[in-house]
Amino acid sequence: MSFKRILKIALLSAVAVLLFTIPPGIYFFSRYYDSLEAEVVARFSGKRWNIPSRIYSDSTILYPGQNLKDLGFFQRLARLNYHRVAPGAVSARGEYSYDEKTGNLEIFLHSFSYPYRDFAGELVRINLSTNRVIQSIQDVGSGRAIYSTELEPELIGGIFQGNWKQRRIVRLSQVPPAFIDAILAAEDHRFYEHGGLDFLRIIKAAWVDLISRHIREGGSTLTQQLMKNFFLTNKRTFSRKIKEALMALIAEHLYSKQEILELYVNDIYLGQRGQEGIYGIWEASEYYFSREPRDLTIAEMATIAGMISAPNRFNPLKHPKAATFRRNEVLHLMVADGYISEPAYQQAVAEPLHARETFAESNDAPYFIDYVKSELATRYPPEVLTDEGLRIFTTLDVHTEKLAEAAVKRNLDDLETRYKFVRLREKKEPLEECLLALEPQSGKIRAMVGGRSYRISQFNRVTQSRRQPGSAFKIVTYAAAFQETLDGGPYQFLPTSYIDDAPFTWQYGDMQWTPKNYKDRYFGRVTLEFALQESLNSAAARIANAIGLDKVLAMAQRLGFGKLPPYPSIVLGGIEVTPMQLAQAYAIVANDGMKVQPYAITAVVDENGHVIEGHEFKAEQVLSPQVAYMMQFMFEQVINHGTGYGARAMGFTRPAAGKTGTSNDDNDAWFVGFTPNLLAVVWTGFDQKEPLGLTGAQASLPAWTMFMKDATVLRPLADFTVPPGLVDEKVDPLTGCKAPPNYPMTIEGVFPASLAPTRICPPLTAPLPVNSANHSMPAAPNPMTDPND
Amino acid sequence: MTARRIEPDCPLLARAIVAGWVLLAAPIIARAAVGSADRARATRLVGFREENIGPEDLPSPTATPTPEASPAAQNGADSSPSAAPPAMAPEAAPSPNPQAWPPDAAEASPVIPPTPASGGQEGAALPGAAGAEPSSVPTELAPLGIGQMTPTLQISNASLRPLVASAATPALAASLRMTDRARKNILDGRPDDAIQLLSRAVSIDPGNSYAYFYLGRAWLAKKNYSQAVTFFNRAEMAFASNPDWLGETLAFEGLTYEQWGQPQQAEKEYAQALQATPGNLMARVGYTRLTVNSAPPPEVAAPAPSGSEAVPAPSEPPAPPPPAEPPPPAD
Repeated sequence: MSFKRILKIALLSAVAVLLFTIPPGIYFFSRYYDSLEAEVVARFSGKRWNIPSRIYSDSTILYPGQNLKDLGFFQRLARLNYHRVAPGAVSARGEYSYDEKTGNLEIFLHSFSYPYRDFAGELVRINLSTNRVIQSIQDVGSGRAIYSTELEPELIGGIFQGNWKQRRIVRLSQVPPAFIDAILAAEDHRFYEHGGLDFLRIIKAAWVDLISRHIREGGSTLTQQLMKNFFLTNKRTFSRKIKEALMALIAEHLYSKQEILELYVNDIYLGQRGQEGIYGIWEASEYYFSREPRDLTIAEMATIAGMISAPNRFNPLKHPKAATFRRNEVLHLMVADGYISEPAYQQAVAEPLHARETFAESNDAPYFIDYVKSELATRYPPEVLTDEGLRIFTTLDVHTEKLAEAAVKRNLDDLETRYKFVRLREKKEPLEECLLALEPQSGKIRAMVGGRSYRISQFNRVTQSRRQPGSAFKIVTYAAAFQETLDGGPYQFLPTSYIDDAPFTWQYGDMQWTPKNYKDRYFGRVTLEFALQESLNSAAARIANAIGLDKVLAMAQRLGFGKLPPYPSIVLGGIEVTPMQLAQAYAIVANDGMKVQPYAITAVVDENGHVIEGHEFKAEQVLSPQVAYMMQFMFEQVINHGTGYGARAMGFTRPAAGKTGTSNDDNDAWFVGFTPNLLAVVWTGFDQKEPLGLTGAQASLPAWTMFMKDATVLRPLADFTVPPGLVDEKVDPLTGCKAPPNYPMTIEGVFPASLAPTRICPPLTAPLPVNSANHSMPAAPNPMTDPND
Repeated sequence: MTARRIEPDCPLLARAIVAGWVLLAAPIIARAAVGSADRARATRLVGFREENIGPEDLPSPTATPTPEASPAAQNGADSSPSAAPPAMAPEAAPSPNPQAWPPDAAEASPVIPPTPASGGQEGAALPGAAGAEPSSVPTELAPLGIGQMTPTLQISNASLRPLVASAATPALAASLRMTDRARKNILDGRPDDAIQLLSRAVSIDPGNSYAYFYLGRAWLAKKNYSQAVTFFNRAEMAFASNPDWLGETLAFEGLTYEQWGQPQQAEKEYAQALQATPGNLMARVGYTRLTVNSAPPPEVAAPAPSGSEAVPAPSEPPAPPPPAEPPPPAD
C-alpha cells in the first residue's frame, strides 16, 4: 500500500472514531454538566445547612443591692467566656476588669439576641462596696445610671443529629474587609481574578509537589474548597477532584464572587470544642477570641484565616507556636499582596497570641436538658429541632444547678461514710438521690438533678421515678381538713384543734386498716400542729377518717396528684408519686394556695428571631389563702420543732417550712421544704427498692439544708405573711380558750377570723399538770405506765 | 498533508454520518435551549437566612422610666389628676375598653359624670346630662356634690416611680421597675410582653403585689377573665392595708366581671372598691352604670358622641342599650 493510502485510511478511521464518539461524548458530558449544575444550584439556593437548636439557661439580672459572691458572679463570667483584663483596658466585648481598690467593675457585655429584644453589647460599670455588694450601675457610653443590667444566658445544650455542628450565619457585610483579605491571602489570593480554577496555582502546586515528592501545596481555590465541603465524604480521588473543579467552574459561572465568599466564610470547619464542631468564622472568633468578627485585631483575623487549611494543627489554643507561625505566614502574604501596610504588618506580627483559654468546666445540666427535650418533643417534630436553628430559652439557673449537684454529691458521700449498712447495700446497686428546686410563685424550675451521675444512669428520677411519699403526703389530709373547716364543714380542724393519737382501725368496705406510728409510740390527745410536727400516723388517719376519704381524694386531685384509688392507706402515702408532683403540691401551699404549673421553657425562638412559643403565666386558686397559711404555719413548726429540726441544727436560719417523708419499709426518704420564695424536694433511696433503712430526716434533709443554705442567699429574705381573714392567737393548750397576757402556758395558733376563740380563759386556781420541759407541748403520756401504748 | 481534499469513498456514507451527527446533536441543542431558561430561573437567588445580629444599638435593657406624661389621647390626663378629662364618661356601657381609660369615647352613656372641682367640663358630656345633678343618681353611696371630692383617676396608669423610690429592698425595687415596664406594655396594647416581664418580676421578688395587679390587667386585656380575677384576688389579698391600690384592684375586678358578663358580681366589686376609695373614678362610674342600667330604658335613641374626642366608641354592648339620659328620679 502506498503511503498516501495508509494515511487516508488512518485519517478516515480517526475521523470515524471521532464522529462516533464525540456526539455521545458531548451528550453524556452535557448530562453530567447539568447534574453538577443542579447540585451546585441546590446547594447555593436551597437550604444550606442543618443548624442545630441551642438551649440556653436563664439570664442573670443584676441590680443594686445584690452581693456578687452570693450570685456566683465571677464563675458566671468565666462560663460565659468573659476575660479579665487590667483596669482601664476594657476595649472589646467579652472583657471585664475589676479594680479591688476602687470597687469598680467594668464589663463589656456580649451582644445577645434575647427572645423579645436584641441587645447590642454595652460597656457597663458596676460600683461595688467592700464586701462586693452592688452599689450602682452605669452605662459607660452615655454616663447615666441604669437600674439593672443582665448577664446573658449560658448555652447549656444543643439538639442535633449526629455531630453537633455549631455555626452562626454571618452576612458578608458583617465581616470586616480585613478579615476577608486575610482569608484570601491565606487561601486564594487570586480569588477575584480567576474563574473558578486558578491554573497558575495548579501548575505551581503540581510542580512543587513533584519536586518535593509529596503533596505540599493544595492548588484549590476557595470555590473548589467550597465544593469539596458540599460533599459528605472526603474522598480524595482524581475523579472527585475533577468533579469539584467542574463544579467550581459552574459555581463561578452562576454566582457572584460575593455570594461564593459569603457561603464560604460560613461553611469552613475551624476546630472542635469537645463534641461540638466549630463552623464558620463567627463561631471561630467567638470560641478562640471571645469576640465578634468585627472586634478582632488583624493578627487575630490572620490566625483564624491560617487555621482554614489545618484547623487542628494550627489551633491557637492547643498549638500556640504553630498557630503563631502560621499567623505570621498569613500576615506576610497579606502584606505581600498589599492588603495591609508595612507598619500594620510589623505591629501584627509583634502581637502576642492571646490564647484565651476556654472554660473547661462543663455547665451542662443533663437531666434538665433531657427534660427540656422531652417537653419539646411533644410539640415539635425532631427534624425541626435538629435542623432549624431554634433557640430555646429555659428557666435553669446554672449556679443553682451546681449548688444542687454539689449538695447531692456531698450528701451521698456523707451517708456512705456514716452508715455502714448503706455501704453494704451499695455493693448491689448505688444509693441514688434526686433534687428539684423551683420557685413557687413563678413556677420556674431552677435546678434539676435527676440522679447521682448522668453517666451512670440517665434515668431522671425527678420526673420519672414513682415512689411512695410516706408522710410527706399528709399535706393532702391536713389541707383537706382545713379547707373543710373553712368551708363550714361539720368538723372543726384547726392547727390547735385536738385529735387523739391512739391506735385505731379504719373499716372500709369489708377490709380494715390499722396505721402504726413510728416506733409504735402514741401520744394521745395532741394538737393537729403537734401531730404534723411529729408526723404521727394515727392522728392523721383519724383526721382523714373524720372528714371522709372522698374529701381527701378530692384534695389530692386538686393538688395535682390525679385520681387516686380509694384506699385509706393513701393518707399515709401508700401510693406512688414523682418528686415533681410532690414539689408541685407543696408549691401550692408555698404560693398561698395558688397553683402555678412548674415549667422549664420560657421561649422558643426561630432562626429569624421570631418567638414561636412563649410561656404564659397562669394560675389557679385551689386552696384558700387562709388554709395555705395554716399549712405553712404547721410546716414551719416541723422545721422549727419537729422532724425537720435537723435543718436548724445545721445552721439554716431563714424562715422555712417543710415535711419529712419516709415510706413503709423504709424504701424512700423524702424531704420537701420551702422558704417563701424557693422550694426544693429531695428523695433518697435505691432504685430497685432495696430497703434504705433511713428516714427522710436522716437521708434527705441534710441535702436539702446544704442546698437551701447556699441557694437562698441570693434571694430576698422573706417571711411567710399572714393573709387577711386569719388571726394569730395565743390559746390555752388544754382548753382552747383565749389566753390573757401572762398566762403561764400557751400555744400559738392561727385561726380564721370567724373561728377564733373568743372566750377568755378564767384565771387559774391550781397549777396545771404540765410537762415542765417544754411548756408549749401538751402532756405526753408516759409510755411506761400509760395503758394506751 | 496533501493539498487535495480528502474525499470519502462513498458520498452516501458521508451524508449518513452527517445526518447521524445532526440527529445526535439535536436533542443536546434542544436541551441546551431549554436548559438555559431553567438556569436563568435558578440563578434568582434565595438569600441567606438572616440572623439577628442586632447591629443597631438598641436602648439599654432598662431605661429610666419616664414620667407618664404621654399626650396620647388614650391616656390623656394621667399627669394632671386635677383636670378631669373632658370625656368623663367611660366607654360604652357593658364593654368598656380598659386600655382607653380614661376614655375619650364618650358616647351613649347614661352615666352622669361627677362634675369635678375645676368644673366647666360637663358641656362636653351627654345630651341628657346637661341639667342632671349627681344627687339624682339612685345610689346608696354618698353622692359627690360639686366641689366635694376630687375623683381620683386610675393610679395604676401612672408611673410607679414613687413606689420604686420608696421600695424597702433592692429586690423589690428591681421588681417594681420591671413591673413599671410591664405597665407601659399594657398601656401600649402589648399584654403578652407585659406578662413575660411580670413573670420575671415575680421571680425577682415574689412579695411584689403590684406585679399580680398588673398581671390581672394584662389578662384582662387578653380577655382571659378568669385568670384576671385570679390575679386580682391575689393582689387584693396583698393590698389589704393599702386602700388606694385595694380600691384600684377591686375596681378593675369589677370591670373584669362586667366584661365577663357577670354584672351582679361586678356591682359587688365596684361597691367594695368604693368602700376602700370613694374617689375611685372607675369604680364610681362603673357602679353607677350598673345600678342605673337596672332602671327601664327610655325611648330616646342613642345620642351622638361628644365632640371632644376622635376615637369612636367600641363595640356594641350586649346588654340592653344604655339609656341616653338618666332616668327620672325615682321619686
